[in-house]
Amino acid sequence: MTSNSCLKDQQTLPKKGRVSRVIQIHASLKCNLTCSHCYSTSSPQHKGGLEITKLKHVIEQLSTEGYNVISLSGGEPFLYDSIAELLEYSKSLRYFNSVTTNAMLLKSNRARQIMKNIDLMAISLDGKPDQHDAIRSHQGAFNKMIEGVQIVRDNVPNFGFIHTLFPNGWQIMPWLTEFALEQKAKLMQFHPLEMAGRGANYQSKICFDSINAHKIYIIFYYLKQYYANDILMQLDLLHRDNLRDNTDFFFPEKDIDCLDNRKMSSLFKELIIDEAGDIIPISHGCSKYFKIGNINDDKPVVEMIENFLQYKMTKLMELYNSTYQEILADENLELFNWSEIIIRKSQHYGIHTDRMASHGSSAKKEKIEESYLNVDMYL
Amino acid sequence: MENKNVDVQQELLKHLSKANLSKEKLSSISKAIASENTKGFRIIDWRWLGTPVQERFVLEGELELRNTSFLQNLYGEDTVKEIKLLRKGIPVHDFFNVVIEFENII
Repeated sequence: MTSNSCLKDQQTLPKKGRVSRVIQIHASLKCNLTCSHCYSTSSPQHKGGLEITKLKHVIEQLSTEGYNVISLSGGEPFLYDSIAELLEYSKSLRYFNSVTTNAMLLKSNRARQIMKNIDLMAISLDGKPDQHDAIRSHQGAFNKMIEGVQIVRDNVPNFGFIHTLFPNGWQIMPWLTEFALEQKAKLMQFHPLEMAGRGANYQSKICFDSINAHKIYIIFYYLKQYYANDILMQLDLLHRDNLRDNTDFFFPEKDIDCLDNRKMSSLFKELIIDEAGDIIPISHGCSKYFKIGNINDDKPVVEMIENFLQYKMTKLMELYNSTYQEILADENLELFNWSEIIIRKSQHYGIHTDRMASHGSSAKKEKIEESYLNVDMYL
Repeated sequence: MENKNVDVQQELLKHLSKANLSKEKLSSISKAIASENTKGFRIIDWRWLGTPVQERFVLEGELELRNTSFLQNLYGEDTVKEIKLLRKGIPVHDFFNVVIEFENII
């Protein structure tokens, strides 16, 4: 063990014991790369981004609801025109600012100024140089990323790497971890490839069989134990036994009834604002049936949440419960990405017309909103 | 990076690369890991014993003093040959250093 090399600067990470309540923002899908596994299908062809005034207004309201982390993703966040204004504002609201980037656009003075308001940067790493370049469809992407890492090290308190795992990814996990350590990173996150966006193109070519999933799980556990004093590690795979023994994990059902006395963030530990400005629970790609609202809606976020609780919460609980029961019942599904499964199942909810009562001064009015109907589960 | 680290990782990769590793075997290891995660046992090292055939597997870890269920589960495990416990912790002895030797697990 390398027990002498303790993390000395860990006090600059989110404080131990601090509960993170995250707003994940996909401000734009504009990206300088066209990665083959991108779940959000980001690319240089995308234009524009979320309107900063509206975005600021929403995160200000959410800060009073207990949210304390902004996780900016994309697209490549440094291509979002208003990134500087957003992060400066969120910092003034005492948010912990985290940015996921490919670290290739950090040489400018603008980037250095932006980094002053970033607490943590997660840098995408797809493997050894050849593999990284191939997946990123960009010759030299790895070397540019390394140059970016140096800049990040000099300008941001903490940084880490995030790696998208392919089925045989267990073979490269030790190399990736050692690379992260050599670069003095403090975080290493492994996220299994999601069959969404461009990642879905892999569906016919590769298969996450259970043998590879087990190998990933075992190698990860070994690495996590081995480097426990050197780097924080995360694997977005869960064992069914952990779910079974931890029913509160899948949803804090008991919190719903006493929400009046609690903040909204106790119910949704993570909210997503996607590229369309929609506020959704769970994760990017969740069915818009579960849309809580939109940053452009002309009503307070609290009102959106009240509407959601009244009209959609039962369905969301139904989704959580059915997913939970399915996983426990499927003996072949020992290791899984909870978020991916539930997002996929959320897509079973299709479009229909729903009547949602509006609140406040216009309480008597009803408006027809585009909504979604569960088409699979009730047929 | 210490050479020892790399060696152990290479051994682990080599072991997991074996074609005859069954899903059931891997599943049992994952299951054990998942249960350890919830029982406060922290593995700090492992090694295989036996040449050329790996006959025994030695697992070393730290166990919180209050956590007895982990040890109780081991008592019923036929493959456990030996358990060594050493009480540790400074200034308060608050954990066990545990060395467990398994046999006949391949």
